[in-house]
Amino acid sequence: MHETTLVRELLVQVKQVMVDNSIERVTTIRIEVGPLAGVDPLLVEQAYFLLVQRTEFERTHLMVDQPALMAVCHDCQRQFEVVDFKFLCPGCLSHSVQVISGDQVRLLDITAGCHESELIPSGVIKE
Amino acid sequence: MTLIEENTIAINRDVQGERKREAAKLRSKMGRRGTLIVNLVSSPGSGKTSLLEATAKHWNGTHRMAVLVGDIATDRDAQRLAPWVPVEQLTTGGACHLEIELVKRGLAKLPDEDYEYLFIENIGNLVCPASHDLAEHVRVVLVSTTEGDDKPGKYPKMFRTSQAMIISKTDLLPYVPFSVVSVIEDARLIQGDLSVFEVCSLTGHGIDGWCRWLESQREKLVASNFV
Repeated sequence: MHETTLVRELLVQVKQVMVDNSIERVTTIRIEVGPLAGVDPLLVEQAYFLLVQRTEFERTHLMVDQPALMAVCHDCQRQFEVVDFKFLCPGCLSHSVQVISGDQVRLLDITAGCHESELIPSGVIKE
Repeated sequence: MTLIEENTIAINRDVQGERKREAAKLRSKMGRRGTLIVNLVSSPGSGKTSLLEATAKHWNGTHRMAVLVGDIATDRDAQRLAPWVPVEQLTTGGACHLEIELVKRGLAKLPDEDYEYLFIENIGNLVCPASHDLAEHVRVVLVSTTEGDDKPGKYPKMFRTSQAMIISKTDLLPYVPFSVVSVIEDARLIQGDLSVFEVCSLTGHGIDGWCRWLESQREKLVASNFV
């Protein structure tokens, strides 16, 4: 049950984004939990619900996207969806494939509820 | 004041990114010192500690190795290994996996020598440890013949993120319904490059091949320092 650790880390990062962008209130946090992320989306939601009680995120909605597991073949460069965790290129049957998405928990975006005087332009924050 | 406008800020960041970078830093630091870090993962009771005992006996002091051994409670595994190698017990007090901070703390407690091999014996669990980079150069998953040959398909992330699989307790093969062929087939469908070793730590069967593989992994690591 490491979903709790993960949600705690997530909230620390959201707080940092809030500080960096002078945001007071977040209405929605959107994350992505891929099939090979190693965590259960339902348990992430439950851990979130418990951890935000009586915090500034109590009324913040957590949206969990569940993207497909995608890989690219090293031999024929084909991109394909990995089904049933079979890491086999459907084009050339090569085993030499690399996962390109769906193996992480990603913080996608946050939606800030802003006051009129504090409007800021949206921008992309790089890692 | 009332909320008047919503503003979405794109972030697109791996939530575990910071920890992964921390692990990568330790991995490269230890690699430069010539220490190969091996993260041993498996279900409880698959024979991680027995494998380490057999490895230490096989090398018989010819290779400098140390062990960080993780458990939820007790230091029994550390006691078992202490006659053979420097060992530090990491007790998680209930947590189901080891994290990089615990590894760093354990590393600081080990006698400060230039180890050629640092083994991290993870908590017995095929789920959570798969998601935590402990700065290892290689991850090795054990499957014992008594726990069944269906494990790779049931725990794909663990097998996908491992470089080698050890089939342990091979002495029990005549007594259990376990197919070595199908466990290897299943595992290689998930991780095509997986190296496989069949071992019995009690009799020493297969330990030689496992140790030679470790030596070749370390040779590769050391050679990469001179590129």
